[in-house]
Amino acid sequence: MIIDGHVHMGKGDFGTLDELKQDMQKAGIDKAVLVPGGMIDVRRMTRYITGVEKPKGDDIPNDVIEHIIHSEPDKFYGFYCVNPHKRREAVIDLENGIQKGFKGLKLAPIVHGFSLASKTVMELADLCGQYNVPFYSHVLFSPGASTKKMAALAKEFPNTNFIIGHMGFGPADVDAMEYAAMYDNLYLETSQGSFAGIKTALETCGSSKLIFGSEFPLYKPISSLMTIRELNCKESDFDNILYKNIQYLLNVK
Amino acid sequence: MKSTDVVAIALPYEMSSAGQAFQRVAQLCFGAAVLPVGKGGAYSEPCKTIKMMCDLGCNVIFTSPSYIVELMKVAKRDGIDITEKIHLDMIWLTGEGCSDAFRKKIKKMWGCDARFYYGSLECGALGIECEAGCGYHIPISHVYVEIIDPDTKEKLEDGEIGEIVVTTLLKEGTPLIRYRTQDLGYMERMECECGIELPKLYLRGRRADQIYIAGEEYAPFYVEEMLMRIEEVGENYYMNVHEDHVEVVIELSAETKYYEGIEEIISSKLEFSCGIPNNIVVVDEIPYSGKKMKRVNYVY
Repeated sequence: MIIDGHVHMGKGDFGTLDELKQDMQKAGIDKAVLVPGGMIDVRRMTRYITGVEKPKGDDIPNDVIEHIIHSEPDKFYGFYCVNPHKRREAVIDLENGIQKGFKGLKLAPIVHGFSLASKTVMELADLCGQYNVPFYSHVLFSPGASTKKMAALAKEFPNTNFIIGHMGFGPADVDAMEYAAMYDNLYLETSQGSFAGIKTALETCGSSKLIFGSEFPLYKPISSLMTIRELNCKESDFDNILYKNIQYLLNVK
Repeated sequence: MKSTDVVAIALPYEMSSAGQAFQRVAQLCFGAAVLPVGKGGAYSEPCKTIKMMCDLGCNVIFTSPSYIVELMKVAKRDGIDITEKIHLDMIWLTGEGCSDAFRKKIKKMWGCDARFYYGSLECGALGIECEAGCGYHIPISHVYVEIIDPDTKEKLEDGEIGEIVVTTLLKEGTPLIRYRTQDLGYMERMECECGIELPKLYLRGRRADQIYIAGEEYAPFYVEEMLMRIEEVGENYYMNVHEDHVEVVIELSAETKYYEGIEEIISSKLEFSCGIPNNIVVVDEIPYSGKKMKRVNYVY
């Protein structure tokens, strides 16, 4: 069994569901966790990081994900994305999303530009704990959405499980690895992670804290999976990384 | 500048060389007409300045960032459309620190270009921006500028941020040798877009103004840059530094109407971009102090 823990799905023609299914089949991936995509054209990522272009943050395609997870509930799981600047509306939105079958929260600091220490983010983290669904977020170089801030949330909300996307910030975020080792409820998702970074994380926080993800369509799932395969770890470690950890967090079999 | 310019000098003429120094440059170097409107002296009221600028066709102004905002507010209060009645070509900003994002707001509100002029009462002119609007050209025949580590006093390499130290080359009455300005900045030697190949100076705030909260250091210059990039934030603000957070008192931008919870949104955006733990307080108006604007106040 292999579950891809991080796949983007949006409304455009870049990274369609058909393409995803083909890529999953090619890589031998059985299931995937879908998060809303397309708010940023990842093919032009640098323009967003430098602020030259602005994300389409108001148009979050949760409806696309909802349709897919209801159509193929045994193959796809969904994370619901909200804009914390919507405050109470964001919290209510997430609760509705969970009740509609979404299995987790996805935050996008680079799209919506909020602080992980804001009141609404705290409320979202608390809600995730109440519903036992994971809280997934990228971390950035921006101090308000840093690895340290994500770790502070994990400490503040011990009943909520947190996933740091893309192994943290940069090619080898040692802080993210050490925080994952320090806090039981903090996990790292491997997409965009370097081989050396994932290898170091395996040694620092163990396989029980790593979740395989591909970041489709920016990356091909087969190449992301190959990086994990190259770790040459024990079968039980592969199982943890490739499906067991995410199964545990999603409460699925 | 050119001889046909009408230049308002909205800088202090009392207890400061600023007003007179800029007046001399405008008159003697360029032959321009000067409106010595001053900045808050006995006869210098913002409404009079606006009237003179309107009536006498002022197209260039030298002033501080906070005073150009005050002039805009006074004009608005008096029902004067500044872009309609005053046709400024250039605003020279000096006397106070100013981020690029703040400058952009000023350019937008006045509908003209705005450039920075960096100087000090002690040393005179230290840096002048060209049309590239990116870093200061140093008047090297007047001053010799160095960047030093403020702790070890060792001279730093290009690109390294440290304290700006100045040696005056022409002053006879009050010569200064390696005068420590307490301003922070760095130098670069890449050719400017305007073609000048000499070193450029970049400012990074004042050493004494750095904000310390819970063991972390935050540069007000950078905080202002990030604050002014937030579309809901207006042109005036100040910060009260507490032990564990900073209270940022702001006015809203003209395009933004107050609604419940806007403080949290602005706070979150600010913390996202510069990490500073903060509490936003929205007020209708921050009154002009009549003095040099003090943006950072320690209250503990």
